[in-house]
Amino acid sequence: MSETAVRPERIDAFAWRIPVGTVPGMRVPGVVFATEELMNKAVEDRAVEQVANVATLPGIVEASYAMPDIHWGYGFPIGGVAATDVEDGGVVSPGGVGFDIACGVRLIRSDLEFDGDVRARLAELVATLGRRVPRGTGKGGALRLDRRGMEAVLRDGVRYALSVGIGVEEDAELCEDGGVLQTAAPEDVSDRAKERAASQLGSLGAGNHFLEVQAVEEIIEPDAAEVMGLFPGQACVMLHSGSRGLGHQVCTDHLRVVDAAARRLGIEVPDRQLACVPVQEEEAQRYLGAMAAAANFARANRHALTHAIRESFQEVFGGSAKRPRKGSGPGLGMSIVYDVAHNLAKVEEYELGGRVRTLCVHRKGATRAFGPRHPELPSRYREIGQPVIIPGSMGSSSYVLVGTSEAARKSFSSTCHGAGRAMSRTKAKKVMSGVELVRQLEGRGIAVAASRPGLLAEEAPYAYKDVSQVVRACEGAGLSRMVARLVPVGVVKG
Amino acid sequence: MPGPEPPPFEILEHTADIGLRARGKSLEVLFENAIWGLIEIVGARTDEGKNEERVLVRLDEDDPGAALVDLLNEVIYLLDLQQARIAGLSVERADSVIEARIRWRPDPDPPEGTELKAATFHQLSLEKRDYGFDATVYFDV
Repeated sequence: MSETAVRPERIDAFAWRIPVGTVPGMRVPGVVFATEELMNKAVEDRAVEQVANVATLPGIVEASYAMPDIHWGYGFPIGGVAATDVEDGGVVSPGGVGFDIACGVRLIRSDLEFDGDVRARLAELVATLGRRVPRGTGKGGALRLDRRGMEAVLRDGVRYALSVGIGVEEDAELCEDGGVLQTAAPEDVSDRAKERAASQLGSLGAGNHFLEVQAVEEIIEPDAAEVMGLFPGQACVMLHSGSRGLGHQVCTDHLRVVDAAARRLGIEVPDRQLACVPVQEEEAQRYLGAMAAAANFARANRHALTHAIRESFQEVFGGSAKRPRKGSGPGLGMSIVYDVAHNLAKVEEYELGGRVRTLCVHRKGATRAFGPRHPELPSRYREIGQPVIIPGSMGSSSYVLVGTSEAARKSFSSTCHGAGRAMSRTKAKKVMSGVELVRQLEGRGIAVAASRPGLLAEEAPYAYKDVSQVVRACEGAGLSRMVARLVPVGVVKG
Repeated sequence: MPGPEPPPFEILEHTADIGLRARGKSLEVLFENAIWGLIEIVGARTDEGKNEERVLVRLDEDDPGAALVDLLNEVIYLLDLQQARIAGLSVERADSVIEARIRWRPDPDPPEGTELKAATFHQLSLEKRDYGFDATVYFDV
């Protein structure tokens, strides 16, 4: 990397350009969507240089994009989006997906009102969730998988969970891709990856993974909120988790293979973590098959966690269960609003230069955000666009957004994925201890269940950017629209 | 007069992730120190352990950094799969193979450190210096 900080040129109030030539080998410009304040942070932590580095990938089209929650990553910036032309030598880079393959967010709504139904039993609810939801590092998932079960999870994703009685049929259509990527190739997932995950299905994990009980604080776009079944004061659960050790191992294994193939093919990149290989090559196909299998594991994992969440609510509120407001949803009206990943590479079609092109779209800490009438949307969301779930930092607001048609030509239908870190974990722990943070959150009426309170400060709200500013920047840039704002009332952490 | 001996490892800040700089008078010592650095980040050190794991990685003379990444990922695998706490280790080299012997015990309780997903190639460096070898590696958290 160069020693001088890269400073992009302003395009408009919410977009900035990094011209070709800023770093050697750029094939397209970089485009960062951000307010001036967010851009200054991205320049400061040198994430902007990483946007420029991604612009060197063979076959990249249009631009190397970054969302407003951009921050320094390893190779790709977090918040990075890059599309490569599959039929014109375009590459896939495992580093452009990352180690937590298909890490994502799911929002589960309920028919309960926070003030009327939940507040009085909040401590009991959070303690029950803490007891029923496996979390933390290593082993301890809700389901132990034998070899056949593992193959089925990797192949069928949420469909596997449904086949063993977890969840209800309508759940699948409320997940990206109907809960299963059909391109999965379990045979390209190593035994070692399968071994790591055998006891991890249905576990939250640690780090920035969490589940929160939230209350809908503000409805911003009432029509879309109504379609999603959201109403003011409603109790919901937001879940953030990924593919656990399986995804980490898939990336580790295939990155080495792709790195060797890139050397063989003479592909040079400015950061070795960007190692890549043309999508048409066998190494790329095997990675994409294994990545899809890991994505299916991540979706099944969030599904098994959802089961534990529903059971927790039933345990606490079962006696006073309300009937679902609409249709035949699960008990207490605990339907999924949507489940979407923010670390994935997907083959999608876009019109560029007057013709439809098949692109490999990498989203590393960025969320797919299809606009209205996209054929891949579930029928209920066809008119409003794809729901996008944006978690805030623990203790701050979270948002529900919808994708826009405009985003298809601006960012390959991508928007932000969260608040974006602003402070290292070490610094965050120096500001206050985990115990102090728990006290502070509880003082604000937020119940906390943390298996390792000492580490909680790593994920403190002050370690992140202002999520409200991030989602407003996405709306200003035309990438997504705000539908509802939720606030945390209970936090469960690994 | 030679200056004071540099520390065997130091932990580097990163906005989202975490880095490690390790040093050693030989490649073997460097690798050993890097593993101890990883264990410190994860909080997985213990005093006693009767289990022993042999970890082998291939060393390419032109690309020793890749061997370091591979070795650290092997240790992360052990920590994740076995919920291992590490009591002792030694690293030896025989031609193009690096062998680490790790003494460990299982612990069902999660360690009080930062969970690491993997060692990455981001800004990876391993260089010969006047005091031996110096390496920098970043982990995904």
